[in-house]
Amino acid sequence: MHNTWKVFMFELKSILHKKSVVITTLVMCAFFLIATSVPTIMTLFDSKSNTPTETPAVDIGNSGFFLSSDSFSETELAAYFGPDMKMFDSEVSLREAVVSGTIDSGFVIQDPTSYKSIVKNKDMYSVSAQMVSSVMQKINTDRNLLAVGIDPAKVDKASIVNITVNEEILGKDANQSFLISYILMFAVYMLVIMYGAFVSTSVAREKDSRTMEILITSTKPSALIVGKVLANGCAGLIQFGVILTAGFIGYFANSANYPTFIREMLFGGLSLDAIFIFLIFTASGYLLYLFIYASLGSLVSKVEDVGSSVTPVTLLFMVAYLVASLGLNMPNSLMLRIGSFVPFTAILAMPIRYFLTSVPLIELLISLALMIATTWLLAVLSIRIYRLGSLSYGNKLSFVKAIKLLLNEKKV
Amino acid sequence: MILEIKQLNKSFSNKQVLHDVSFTITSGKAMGFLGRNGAGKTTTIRALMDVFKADSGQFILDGKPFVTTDYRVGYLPEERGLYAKEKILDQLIYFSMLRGATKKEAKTSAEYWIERFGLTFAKNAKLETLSKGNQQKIQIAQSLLNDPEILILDEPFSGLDPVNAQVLKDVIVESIAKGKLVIFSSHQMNYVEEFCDEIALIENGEIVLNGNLNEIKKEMGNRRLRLAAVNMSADQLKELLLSKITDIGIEHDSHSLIIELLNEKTKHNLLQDCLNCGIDIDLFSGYEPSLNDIFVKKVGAENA
Repeated sequence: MHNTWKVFMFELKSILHKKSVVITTLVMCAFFLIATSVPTIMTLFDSKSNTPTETPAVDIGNSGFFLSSDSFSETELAAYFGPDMKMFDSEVSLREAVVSGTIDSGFVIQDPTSYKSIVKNKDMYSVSAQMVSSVMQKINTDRNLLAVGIDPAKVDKASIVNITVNEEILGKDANQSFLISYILMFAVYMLVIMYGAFVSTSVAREKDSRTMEILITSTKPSALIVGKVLANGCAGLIQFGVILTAGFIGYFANSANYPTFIREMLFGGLSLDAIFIFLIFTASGYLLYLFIYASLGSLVSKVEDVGSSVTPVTLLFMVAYLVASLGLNMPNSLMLRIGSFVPFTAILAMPIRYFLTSVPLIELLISLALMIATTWLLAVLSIRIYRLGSLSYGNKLSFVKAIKLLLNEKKV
Repeated sequence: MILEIKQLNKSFSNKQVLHDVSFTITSGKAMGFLGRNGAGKTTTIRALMDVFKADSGQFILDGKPFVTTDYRVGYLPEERGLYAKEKILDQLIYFSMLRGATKKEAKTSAEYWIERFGLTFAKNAKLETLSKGNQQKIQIAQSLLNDPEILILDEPFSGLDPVNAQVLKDVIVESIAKGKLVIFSSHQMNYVEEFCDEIALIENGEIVLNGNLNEIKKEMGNRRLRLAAVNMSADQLKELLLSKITDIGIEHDSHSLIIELLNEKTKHNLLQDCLNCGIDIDLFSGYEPSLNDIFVKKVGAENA
């Protein structure tokens, strides 16, 4: 234990003194401070350009019209699209304007119930044509109502009925925790991928530089690997903690300028128990992955082979990320429920489930017990793999081959 | 302290690399563990350091099984390596602390060896900024931290220039004088000859020669003489001796002929015969083989 602490302190100091870590942290802090200040910056710009202008009833953006028949008058359309609507005197000139990019879309109104839409490139989410359809429908409806002697204004008034919803949420509101869940999930994803790579490279570098033999003859392999994993884990938490703190400082300094719905999506559903569940599952899952990364790092002899060696565990973690991100949109799905029990996916899946839905205590405990047991097992296994891999120079050992060797060793 | 290595066997991938390796190391005496590259020196030392387990055999220190963690052991592995990007002082302190020193003791020990090897100017430099020779000195310093009772050096002279080799020799001689148990392996006989008290010579995983170097030299030099003449070349002398004198074997090295006395032949007879043949004697003395001669004789000239 004493030597684990010495390894831990040496490794932690070594990581936190790395220029790359310091620079990345500072850059990320600056980025988060700026990003969280965007609403305030936008307010500054908005206050300058907020000169009152008459806004049209229906905004169809930069569009132009040509009336090829007398079915509608320019005045009728202007009542909806505003007096500044662009009129063209022929379909050809309208088409030219679209081609040259003067306008984004052109509409040739052929008769009361049909029109032609001309665009250069059709966007997936263009709503201009739908707007034109709605306006034409409204004009036609009004005409028909007038024809039978009914005042369209009265019908409009009669159609406006506001329904008030009094929602009572007994569990959790997924809307309220969505954004913070996403941010934290992404942070954990980055944390595991980055520090997993750090720890495996660090182990492989000791082997590559032949420092390993001095280390394993100086202290126990368990002290070396546990100290190293904890140091990398801790360095990751410190780095991400600093970056997230910068983000929170930025947010709280600018929170007055955030729209209410974003504020609710960020912190509306966040409670102390949710933070506790997040921290405990993240910490144990993070350790679980770091132990796997460390043992895989010890199976290669050269730093450049680390990438291929850790690919399987990186893929496994990407599956966990996929399960959690799909679960973010379907928090009650069976997939997320199963995912929240499997230790390799529970690191992300359980906090997401807990943020967005109500999870029975027994399920939390079972999942946590499974996670801790697996982490412990993998820690023991990784110490043995590390000891085995630490001196097998030459060809890369696969994870499966290492396990087979360990089993054979036990039989002997 | 007496460390006995007994009946050591080790195989890798069904190939046996050590065959019943046995020898003894006594503290206060310099033990040279000698052999060609690939003879089994590093495997023996790694098994001794518990880097891996031997298939069979024992390490007995003063009658009890030897456990590395029970003693202060300084170890210089054959494959050298330290943290390239860490400061020298920091990493020496770290290694010292891992072996049980307090931070203060570790710092004192690390600073002593850095100074001893003349590297005080670089103690806060990263290892990678040092020349290769200086990096080697740091590797050696690493094995000397914490005043080890037992010093195990695998090929310590490999890659050292003559100046650094002398520094290392001084350190080894000093450690032996302090009564420490020291074993070093080497394939460079000329480096270790002058301060080896005992040798164990390994070839193809088997100990082929073991014992006190002076006694071995005496034994191998027994009934052998050096002979050179003023009035003829070595070849002429050899021809003359072969034609005129019986009961002798003749070899030669760069210095002189080496005559082995066979059967009942005595030194006195040989001298008389030489004088009778009219040889103007330039050199007539007892022959003591060099370590290199012993090595070549045991391992074979083609392998040396």
